[in-house]
Amino acid sequence: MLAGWRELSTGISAILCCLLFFWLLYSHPPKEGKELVVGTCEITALDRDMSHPKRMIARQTARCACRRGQVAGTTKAKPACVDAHIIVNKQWCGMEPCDDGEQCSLLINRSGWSCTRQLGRIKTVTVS
Amino acid sequence: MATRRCTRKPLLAPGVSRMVWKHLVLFFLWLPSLVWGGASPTSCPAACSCSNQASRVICTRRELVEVPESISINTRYLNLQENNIQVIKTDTFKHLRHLEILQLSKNLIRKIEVGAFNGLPNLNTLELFDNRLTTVPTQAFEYLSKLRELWLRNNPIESIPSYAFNRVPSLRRLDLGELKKLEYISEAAFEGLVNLRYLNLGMCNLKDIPNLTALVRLEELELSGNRLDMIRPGSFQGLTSLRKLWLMHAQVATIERNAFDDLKSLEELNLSHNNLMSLPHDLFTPLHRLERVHLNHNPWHCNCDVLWLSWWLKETVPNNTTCCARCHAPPNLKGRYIGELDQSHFTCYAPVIVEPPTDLNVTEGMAAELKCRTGTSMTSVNWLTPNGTLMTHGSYRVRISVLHDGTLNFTNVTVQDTGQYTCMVTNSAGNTTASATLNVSAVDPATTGYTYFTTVTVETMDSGQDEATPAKKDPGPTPSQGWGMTYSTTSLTPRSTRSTEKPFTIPITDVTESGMKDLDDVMKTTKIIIGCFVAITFMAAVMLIVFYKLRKQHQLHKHHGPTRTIEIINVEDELPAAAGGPGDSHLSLPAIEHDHLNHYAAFKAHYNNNSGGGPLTCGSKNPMLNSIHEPLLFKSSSKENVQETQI
Repeated sequence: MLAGWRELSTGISAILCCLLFFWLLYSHPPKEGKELVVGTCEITALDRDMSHPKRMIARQTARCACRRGQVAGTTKAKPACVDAHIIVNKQWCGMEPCDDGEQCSLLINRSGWSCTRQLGRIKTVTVS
Repeated sequence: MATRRCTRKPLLAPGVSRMVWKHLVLFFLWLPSLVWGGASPTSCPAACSCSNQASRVICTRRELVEVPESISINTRYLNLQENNIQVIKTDTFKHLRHLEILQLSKNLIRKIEVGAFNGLPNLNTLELFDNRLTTVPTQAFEYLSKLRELWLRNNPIESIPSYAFNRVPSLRRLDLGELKKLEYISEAAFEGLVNLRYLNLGMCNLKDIPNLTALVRLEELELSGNRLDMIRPGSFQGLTSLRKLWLMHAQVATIERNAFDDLKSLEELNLSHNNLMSLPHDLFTPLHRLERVHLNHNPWHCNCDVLWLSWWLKETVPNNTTCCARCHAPPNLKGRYIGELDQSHFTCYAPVIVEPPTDLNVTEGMAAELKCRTGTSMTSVNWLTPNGTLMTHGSYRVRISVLHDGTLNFTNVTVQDTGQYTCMVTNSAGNTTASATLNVSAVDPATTGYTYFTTVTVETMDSGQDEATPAKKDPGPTPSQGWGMTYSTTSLTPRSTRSTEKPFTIPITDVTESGMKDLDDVMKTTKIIIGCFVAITFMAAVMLIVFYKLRKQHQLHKHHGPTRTIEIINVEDELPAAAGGPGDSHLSLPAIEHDHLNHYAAFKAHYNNNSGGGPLTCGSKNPMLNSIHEPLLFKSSSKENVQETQI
């Protein structure tokens, strides 16, 4: 009979431990808060339209916490802090926006850039 | 003696039998152990002369090409100067554990192998000057824990790498003079030499003074015979113990303001035989201990700028003002001693600030400059900061410095820098001041912290490439029609992240509905829901296990004896309507184990006796009731059982 109580209490304590564990796990402050570390970026909005055949359209907004003289931009196809003058002068290729192995070229009206891969894939990016 | 023996033996060998050969081989194997083991403490190599019970071994000018073997282990002093030794091999001196002085200078040493000076724990002087070394044999200095003097003068060493002397922190004197091929001295070359008192870098063709910051105890520094041209403030940074500085024949033409400010302990300064025409105003004022200055053989230009020097000489060395320097120009003063000049010789004017500072408004973190350009570089420039400290050319702050032209330079300003800055330019005739206000405005981190960058990417691909990028072909997670599409994060995150090429996870936010509703919240709720689910499942599992165990335990109890029957009876008393008719009990029988059969038999009898009619028959419900409630009932009955047994 005593043993039964013991088991019951161990069971309860196990449950309590379990609950405590989950409580600790979920009450822990989330690391990815609104405050970004200086020099880092996050994508705050991303819409992908893949309904067209052989074509994908994506609209993406990145938010960056940059140092002075730098603003949000794109480097190697990822959001990154870049020198502000690149954005101001629309010298988009100056921030190396294309992935390795891709060729960057400025669009004629300087509204963006395009990245060309050798196998015929073309990525055209316009800044809005 | 040992060497002689071994030359004789081979002569005897050809004439004797195999056995003798064997013995000979054995002997040769044994011989080195005799020599190296130091079995003969007073042995003296043939080419050397030994004295003092072989503690002094002198082998100079013997045209030796190798370090002789069989040097006595008692040796404290070993002189191998002026021989033809080219290589010092590993463990050459290994057995000489008493050796204190090792002279290897004036040889042809070009290579010192790693571990060449192994086993010399008492060595305090190592002379390697006048050799053919092209590098500092850093690796060989290991374990020389008592080395105090190292002479490397006059070797064709080309560079002094970082941490070149880091293994010999005990070093007190280091002679690196006449390294005529020296091209490069690393910033960290002298790192670790915390005990060094004397350093010779004379005649090394240096164009700049190397970084000597690590030499915190340096007292004497020889830099003569170099091509320094200019001495800047900070060159002697950290040399707070330096007492003597020699800069003769160093082609010095300019000494910038405050160049010697770091040398707080300087007593003797030799600047003779240089190209100095003038010295900046009050150059020696911070050097409170300076008492001997050699300024002779410089083309001194005697004008107002040299007047301070005249005063300084009169004050510091009143009885020897003629010792030092003579005027070279102008012609009417040529040959006059600087120490004899006074104001009557010139007409002096207070300095002029050519470019005074202007008020500045800057934001925090920016660089800023407050100009204070003077007509001549021979004036002294001091900046008075708002908090009352005095900044001079060469004073070290992390962010603020005074440049050579007098400009106060901020690499980045903080709000605390706000205030009035006063520039004071002094020469022997007086001083001039100019002030300006620096206004630093703080930046609000919330407003300038974040920037946004929105792009629209259109990616097209050839049909042949479609297979190469299957992720692209994958249609969107939902029937998406345009930009207005919003993703409900909880259900779609896995798919959408799968379809993206990016290696990092992308937080997706519901943009159209609630603007900037944070993704984190959604993620968090998801997590909590999943967590709760897991927790409930876990709890259920634990409870099941507990109940199962309790039930099992009860069954064990039944095996124990007659109490069990009492138990059952008690139970059934409490639940009169629980069990139905005979058919019900029959139905539940298969679920119950064999023991129960007996109980049910007993219970049936009991039941029939007590309550004859009116039982609640619930048809097929009853067995369920029975089977479910049984464990619980057992539990409650077991309590009573405990009480009973205790009684």
